[in-house]
Amino acid sequence: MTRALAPTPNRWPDDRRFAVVITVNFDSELALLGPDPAAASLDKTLSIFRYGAIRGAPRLLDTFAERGVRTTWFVPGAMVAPCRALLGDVVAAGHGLGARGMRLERMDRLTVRERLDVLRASRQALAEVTATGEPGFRLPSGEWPPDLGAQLLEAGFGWSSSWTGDDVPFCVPAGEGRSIVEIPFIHALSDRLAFAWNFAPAIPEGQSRIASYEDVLENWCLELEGCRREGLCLVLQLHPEVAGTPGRIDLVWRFLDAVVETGDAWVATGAQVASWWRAHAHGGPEHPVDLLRRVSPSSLA
Amino acid sequence: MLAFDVDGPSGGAMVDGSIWRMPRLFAQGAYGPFRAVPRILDLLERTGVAATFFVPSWVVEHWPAVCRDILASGHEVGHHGYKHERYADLDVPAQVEVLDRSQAIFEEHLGVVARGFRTPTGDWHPETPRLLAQRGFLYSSSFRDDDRPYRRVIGGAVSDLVEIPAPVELDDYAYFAFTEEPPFPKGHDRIAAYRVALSNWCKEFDGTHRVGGLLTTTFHPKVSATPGRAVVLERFVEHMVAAGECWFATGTEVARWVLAHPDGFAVRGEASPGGAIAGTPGPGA
Repeated sequence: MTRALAPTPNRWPDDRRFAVVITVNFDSELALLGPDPAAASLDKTLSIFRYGAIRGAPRLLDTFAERGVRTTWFVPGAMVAPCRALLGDVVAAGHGLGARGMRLERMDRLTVRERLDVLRASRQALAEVTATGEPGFRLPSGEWPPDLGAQLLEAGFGWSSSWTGDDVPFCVPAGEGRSIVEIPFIHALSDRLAFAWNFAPAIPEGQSRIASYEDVLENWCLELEGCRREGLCLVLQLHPEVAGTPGRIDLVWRFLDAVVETGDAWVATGAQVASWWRAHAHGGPEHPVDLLRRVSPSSLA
Repeated sequence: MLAFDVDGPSGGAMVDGSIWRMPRLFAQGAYGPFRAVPRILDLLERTGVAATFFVPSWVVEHWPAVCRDILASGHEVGHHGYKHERYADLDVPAQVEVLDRSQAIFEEHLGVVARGFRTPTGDWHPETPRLLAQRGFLYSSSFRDDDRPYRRVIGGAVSDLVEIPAPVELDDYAYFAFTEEPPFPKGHDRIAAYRVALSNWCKEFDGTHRVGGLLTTTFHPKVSATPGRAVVLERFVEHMVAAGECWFATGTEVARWVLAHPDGFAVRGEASPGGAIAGTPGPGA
């Protein structure tokens, strides 16, 4: 008897065995300036993040084009105007877009009104770059306020990639019986958590050593193997300033090669997966978000 | 002894109530009973190995079907607090409340009386072993002080409570656990290479094989049974099975063996106020 999820013929389109969603968090210097506007004077530190727009993002775009994969780029609204040309290249290549608020605001520290304003403004900013597929949302940091789902819907976002806690998409309650589709990730599949480093301010907080590139690639490939085994949905998070160095772009190439070599991966944008899941989600045991709502109704509206 | 702690979303944030304002953290923890335990049960069935699952009784209450499946698959369940309380922080009546309430939940939802216990979140209270022995617990698997089981001295006398030590080297938290907020590890250290964790685990197993000891794991399904880590976990179990001379025992089986062979195992006890050790090492030491 198999208890875990097992590959089913109709979980993904075209008899694909599993899904792979490659995402790029194009936060640029807002990664630092968003939470701490006083960092504006730290020109050298900010240049770490500018590297993403200058070198990393074009290099990622070339890599995705060579491998023929469509990806999803999450962009804070305030980055749209200064990076218009680059984002034009992103959408022209068929990649999808998602929002990160205007300046990577922590949604759990804003009032309901402020949240809605930020979400609407970021939706408006994305509308200036015409991408295919509905735009998604990725929470920059902090917790998910109980009524965020409803506000995302109200601002025009129908899907998110902000949670951990599952290996396939699920529906997050969004008030009045509605829901939005969540495409969850795992922390091991993030270039930033493995490699990002700075002296002052300290990144990461404990300034642990930059991980071994080969070890990280091997972790990613093991997760790929596990996802393929059970027909799940793998979500990789890349950051142009991290993954786009001349040495690390090699990891992206080789990981994408491993994905393509499986021969049965559905490499899709977040919008494609969300739209598919909305139409084809099937039952199972009570999902933790529903359990949470049952035992603590105020936790998730 | 292959052992898993099915903490789910229980822990400090549930004890202090902050988890109810942290739906993402709740879901990250719930992944254990929701997705990871079923995956582990499949893995154990494929490899033919019995395991012990320590489950906070809040998790039993909210995932009873998964917990019944653990038992129906031939494995054992033991206590791990109600919401993963730190026993060192509880006075005696509060510990009694957690133990008795948990036992009632195990009986109601699973139809079993647990005989095993693992301390949640670090240390226990000086009175905890006495409370466990009084309630008929056969074993605790909490300490780090040996690589084979021993009988515990309680109140100066040798008790029938067996300790099955579990080393941190075989705790997946030391390699893989990661939360954004509150930050874990505290400085947001990197997630270890899966290959390195597997290699360390295999080396500890090989060494235990060589000395004829007992190896006990502290694996958390939510941590070490993501799709990719389950691949690594399976390789570890296969490595142990391939050794051919390993007795995969549940906690109760280990405890009964120790009690039936008192001359073969140490008697070890409480630290005295001066720091000296009560009890003397037995022939198995």
